[in-house]
Amino acid sequence: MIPENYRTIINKLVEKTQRKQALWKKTSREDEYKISLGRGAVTTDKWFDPDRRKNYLDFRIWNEDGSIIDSIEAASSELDDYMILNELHVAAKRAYYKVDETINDIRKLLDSDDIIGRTVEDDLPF
Amino acid sequence: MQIQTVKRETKQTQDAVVNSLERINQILSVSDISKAIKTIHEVQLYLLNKKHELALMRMKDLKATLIQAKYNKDLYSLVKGAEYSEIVTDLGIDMVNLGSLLSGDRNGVNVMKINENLEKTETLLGNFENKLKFGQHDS
Repeated sequence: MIPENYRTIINKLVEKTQRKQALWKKTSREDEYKISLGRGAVTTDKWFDPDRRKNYLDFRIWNEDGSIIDSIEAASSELDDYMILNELHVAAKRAYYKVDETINDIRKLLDSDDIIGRTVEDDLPF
Repeated sequence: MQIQTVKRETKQTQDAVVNSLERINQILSVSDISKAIKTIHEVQLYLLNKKHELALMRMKDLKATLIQAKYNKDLYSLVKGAEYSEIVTDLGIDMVNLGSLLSGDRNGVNVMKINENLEKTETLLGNFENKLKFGQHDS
């Protein structure tokens, strides 16, 4: 069970991310995202454990010396905690990949009278 | 007249000693930075050769050097910024991620990203080294 103070921090981070006021970066793990907060940082990671056949999510708080000062982990079987951590992970991932901005750009392009797509002259078969 | 001359010479000697000590400290600081840059090269070589255990060991040495630099008064004005804090945190994250890969706890570590972070660290340390050598920082 995620403690109440952590739930508050995670909810605030989700809201700030959804308001486009949070700059997330990718770490050296495939699906882990990091945001610098003051002198420390927070990370959110998602991975699949093939032995237990479960998805996992974590939320870690790092200090300025690059050490973990606290960490929360939830398996997909712990539904409530997993959903809370998943909301943050999804928000961070969408922010990092600028999903909303890209979808808006696509919509604007489709609504316009501009010709979309590109042709490469050399690709012509004749 | 003689007393004044002795006083002046004493002051000059004291100033010279202080200057020499500052210079020695600066040389030691440059040497620490050079050592850290050399360690980065070793880590990169180990990563390239997939010797992850050795890379992790040297990363621990690198982290210790980077943290130690925060307590060196000659380096303080250079390392107090957010950029330096970020490279130390990123190094910590990369070490934990590499450790997870080694223990089999989690897969999916991007060694290229670790290398990219090390490159950033090297660039920043290289700038510090030049500032110390050519005296372009405010301590």
